[in-house]
Amino acid sequence: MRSHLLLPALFFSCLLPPLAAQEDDPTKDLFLIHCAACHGETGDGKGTTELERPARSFLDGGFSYGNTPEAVLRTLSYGIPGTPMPAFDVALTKDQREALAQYVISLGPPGTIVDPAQTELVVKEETLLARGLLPPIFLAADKQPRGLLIGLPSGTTFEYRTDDVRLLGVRSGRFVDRMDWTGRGGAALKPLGRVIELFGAGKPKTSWYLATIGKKLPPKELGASMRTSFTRGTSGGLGYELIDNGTSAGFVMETVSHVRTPVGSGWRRSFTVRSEIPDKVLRFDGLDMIPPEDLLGAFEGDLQKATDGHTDRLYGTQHWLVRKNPSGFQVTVIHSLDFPNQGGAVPGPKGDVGFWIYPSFENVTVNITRLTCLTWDDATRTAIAKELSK
Amino acid sequence: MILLPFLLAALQGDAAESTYYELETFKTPSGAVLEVGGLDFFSDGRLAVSTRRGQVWIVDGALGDDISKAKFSLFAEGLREGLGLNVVDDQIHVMQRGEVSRLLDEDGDGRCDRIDTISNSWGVSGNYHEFGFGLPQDKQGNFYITLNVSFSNPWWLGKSPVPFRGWCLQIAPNGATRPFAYGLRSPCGVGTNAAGDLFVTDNQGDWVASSPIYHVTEGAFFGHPASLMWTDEYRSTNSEPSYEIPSAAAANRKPPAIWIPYRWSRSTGNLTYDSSEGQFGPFQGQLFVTEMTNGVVLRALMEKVRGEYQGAVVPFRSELGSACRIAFGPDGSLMLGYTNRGWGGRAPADGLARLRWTGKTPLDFHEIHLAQDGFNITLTEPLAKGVTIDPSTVDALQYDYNYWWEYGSPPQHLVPFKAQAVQISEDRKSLRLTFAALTAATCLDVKLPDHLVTEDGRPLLHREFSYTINQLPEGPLCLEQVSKIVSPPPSKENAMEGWLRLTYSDATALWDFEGWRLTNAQPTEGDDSILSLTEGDGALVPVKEGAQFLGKINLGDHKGEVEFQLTRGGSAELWLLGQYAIKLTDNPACGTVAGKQPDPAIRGYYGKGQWNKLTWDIQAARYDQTGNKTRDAVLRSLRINDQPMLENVILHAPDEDAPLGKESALGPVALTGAPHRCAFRGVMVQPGRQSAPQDGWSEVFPEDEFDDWPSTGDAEWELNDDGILIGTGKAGHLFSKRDDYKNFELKGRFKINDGGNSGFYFRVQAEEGWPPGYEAQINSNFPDPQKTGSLYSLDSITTWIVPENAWFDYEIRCVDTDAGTHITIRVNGAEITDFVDTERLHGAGHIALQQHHEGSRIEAKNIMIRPLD
Repeated sequence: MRSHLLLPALFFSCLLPPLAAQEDDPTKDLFLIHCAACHGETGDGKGTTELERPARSFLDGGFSYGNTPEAVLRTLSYGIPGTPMPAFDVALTKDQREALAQYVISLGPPGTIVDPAQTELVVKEETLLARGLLPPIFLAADKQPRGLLIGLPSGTTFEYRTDDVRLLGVRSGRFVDRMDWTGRGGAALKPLGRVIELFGAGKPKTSWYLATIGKKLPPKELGASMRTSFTRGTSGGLGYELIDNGTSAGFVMETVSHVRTPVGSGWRRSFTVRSEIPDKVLRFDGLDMIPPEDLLGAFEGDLQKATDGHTDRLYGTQHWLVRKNPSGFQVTVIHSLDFPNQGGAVPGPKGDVGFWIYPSFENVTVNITRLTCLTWDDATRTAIAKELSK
Repeated sequence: MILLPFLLAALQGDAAESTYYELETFKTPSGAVLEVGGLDFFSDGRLAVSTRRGQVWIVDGALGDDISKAKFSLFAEGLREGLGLNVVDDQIHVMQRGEVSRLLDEDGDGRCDRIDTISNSWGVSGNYHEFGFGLPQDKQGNFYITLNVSFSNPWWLGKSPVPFRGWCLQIAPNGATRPFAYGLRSPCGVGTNAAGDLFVTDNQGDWVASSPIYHVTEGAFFGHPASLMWTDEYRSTNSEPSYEIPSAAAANRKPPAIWIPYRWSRSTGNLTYDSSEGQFGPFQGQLFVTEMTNGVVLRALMEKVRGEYQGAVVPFRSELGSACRIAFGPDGSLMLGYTNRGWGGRAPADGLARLRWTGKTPLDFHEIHLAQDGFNITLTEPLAKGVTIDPSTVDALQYDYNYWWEYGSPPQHLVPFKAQAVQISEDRKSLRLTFAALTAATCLDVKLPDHLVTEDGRPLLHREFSYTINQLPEGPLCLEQVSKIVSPPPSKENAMEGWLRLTYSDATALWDFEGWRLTNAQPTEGDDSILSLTEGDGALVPVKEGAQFLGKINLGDHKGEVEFQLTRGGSAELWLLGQYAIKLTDNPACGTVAGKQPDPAIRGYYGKGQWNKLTWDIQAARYDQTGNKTRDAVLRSLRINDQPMLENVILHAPDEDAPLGKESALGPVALTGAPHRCAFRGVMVQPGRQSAPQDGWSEVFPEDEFDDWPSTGDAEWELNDDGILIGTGKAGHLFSKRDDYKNFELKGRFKINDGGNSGFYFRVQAEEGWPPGYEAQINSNFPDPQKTGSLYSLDSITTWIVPENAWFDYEIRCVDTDAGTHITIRVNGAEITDFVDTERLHGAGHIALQQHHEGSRIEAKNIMIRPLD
């Protein structure tokens, strides 16, 4: 009996790296420099940095994106949006990241690499689109018979309904299980990522409005009609027509991408807008308002003066909103790189995550970028600004 | 001896077909499951395939001589089903469930990177059945799509909760979308004929009698009412069409050009025309229709009669997989796309195959044209000199259908007859069949004899055709249709009234048996003469020679229903009253009783490996008081798959080897069969009403005493205007006013809801809690193993004999005898429980009703008692 008990112990000890080798391990040094502050020196998740939600313990195994070296490498390279886990693609070489991935996996229990289920759609080097019936993204939200998922290689998934083109939320993790590949085919898809962003509690209101220049009429809700969807390497997106009483009010190409900086990672929606109605303003109001009391900071980036043909106005190319949330600091930036030559985008008032498109400009591009950072200081701001200027 | 012609027929069916049309199956990439929903070719001969898994594959080399060299590459994935595909100007267009899309590869890497939404102007509610099909184009470049109805309760009842379910839509190249035709149900196939006219196939179900092919024209209504929701008329009044009563629009239905007989097509896929200019053999320009359940391709021979399409359908090639999609390649090969997931069909269930003409021309029907008194038929090859056809060997069967909300319609008004004359033309390539009378608004199945051959001895490859006679060429226009408006059948709820399910849930408790097994059974792969058994409860299968499955419930006159399946060459017997055999054999003689064979023209039996529904109606023998037989038993009707096989067969004596040796007025259902070669399921019986004494009965709960009835607990009791006593709310009991009922006959009608539980008490004391007394249990599917028919805790019935929400009759007899208190319980006229309580647990008492728990609902009526003291 005794020998039976001994066998497994021997087996495990063979798998552990020899103690002496660990001490000389340059990968361990990398771990101590870049990871241990949050994840702990032993990888137990008890680092010195105070986090509202503790960083992952590597000792138990199991990673947000799956347990394969490729998956962990992806996390190291892209970061995890919605958490303070930053991207290390600049700070570390690919070899270093690969070694680090192996290292953190080795901290956990030995396990087999699980083949993705037969019905799981896995995003590899290029963005994937998946259409289908979507389950409610949040408690009392509705199922979405015309759902569209845009899954980026970073593990970020944008979840839309295409009937009237509204972004329901953003997820992070594995892509989607095609439950409709079984039975007669009516089942809802099962998005596998964790919801890191939810708009309108899963029931978002209209994103686009039409406002009249110089009149204080309430803005008018616009419909939207899906026209195209696309993938471009590691980003993707969709195009839709804005509809005012059955006629075209404009056309929007919306590109979604992953954003990574050394101080935090996140996502971006980039809107290229063409207005079809000459005397009206298109207003985008597609993100939830941040309550003013939550705002740590709201400030304009490089303010410049420009003439839009009607009045002299100040246009902000960068409109920053910073708030503290359980994961760290959420930084939202509304920015138009086209300014001032092709400008015409105006951010909303304080706390408002929206913008206006003035009619005299064609194909204005406005980006909304949202990152989660562990800290908020000048260095963080500089690092983000550097990414924005790319 | 009798088997010989059937063997011949089988040979003609498949082996012979393959000498003319060769089937080749593509090897698909490992790990890929091609559940094909759309097929079309690029101008360079590459094939594009869309699948139900939302993928689009491009196949290079699909047309080559060596299909093992075909290369598959994944062009797109992540679509929501692709049940239609059209390559227009070398751009792939796909019908997805939620949109019509154009797929583009802008960077030229062979992978789709842009999906343009051409139209999504219709509703998708999320119901699984909302399949969308397409995607042919007309000469103006308009696309056509068809949209399934949704399913709701009952599961097969079609509804249109969101716009244009049940419609055909026209989509202009710029995306402008408009409703085009309506009244569709599950229109899986959309295509055009050589003239560019639009045709749609639909699938059998509510309001759709069999498998129709519609000629779709703008504004046409084809009969399924759900789609009416989205007509101006219904929208303006905000009303919903009836799902049971034929709508006013029903009178103006456009009839199908062809009704495919259900035995030939149980699940129709798409259709396409032979554009091969002779490379596919002699059927140039004709329509081909695919079918996935039987795995066949059929030919639809359309002609215009009185200005409208109608015509014949004939088998073309069998022994294929579940071919949902077919498309002609530029080289004249016919591509077959398989899928049947969730729908059922012949193996293989997925993949890609093709049929190529071997260059040999079969002797077959070429064209079939209706004449006023018969048919002008051309053949592909001349008949041998000396071949003559005796008109009495040409079998015809005329029938029509019911247009109703019931799922499908069995053929109605069956009239078998023979040809009056057959002439063979001088060139021996044409036949003229003459019949005494043809009738418009009927279908006619015609079968030629089996000796027709070419000069070199090749037999006529297919001997049968089915022609849909909407109109005769001459005479007044017929205002009727093949599918006739009839009074709606009773709702399903009423349809189950009076029935007993003898194998439901606990399938074996009401049976005595040895050498039978409750198991899952399916034909063995590679040997369809034997069943493979796997763990499960799907079927009852004999596993020992001579083994009986003998019912415990004795029946007199009754109706019954059972499903059976036979293997190739399999056989079984269904014994009625334990005495009279219905012989089930894997050939058209299936259903022979007392030596009487069904007419082979009436094909009820679907064939090996298929479940068949058999229904019967038997009247037991009658005896006088001295035990002498005064009348023979009669099998009043025998139907297989709703086809009338036999009627009024006199049963003079029990068959040999009958489970009951002696003839009797009472007996059980019994089953025997060849071990591992037959399977049964779903045995149900409806006992006939017996004459019972009419006098001496009195009401237990007379209305005028409502306030006097004692009750306990917190149940709510209501007596409604129809005299129905309804118990709801929390647990409680309602007692009769009288408490001295001792020896009696007691009866009542009851209905318990889904998940409900109640009880019919007698000799019970009006006490709080669960009152002491005898209880006839009322429970259809509440999770208490004692079900309706049980004498609670004394004698259990664990089979779910009575469905929920269906009225049933309880007849209880309770008398003290020397041996104890003797209680018999009959359900729907059949004695289910016979128990002697030797302990005499309960003396005289009330009659009572139980309300068991909140959510339960018991309805009771006609509770009558007849004292026997």
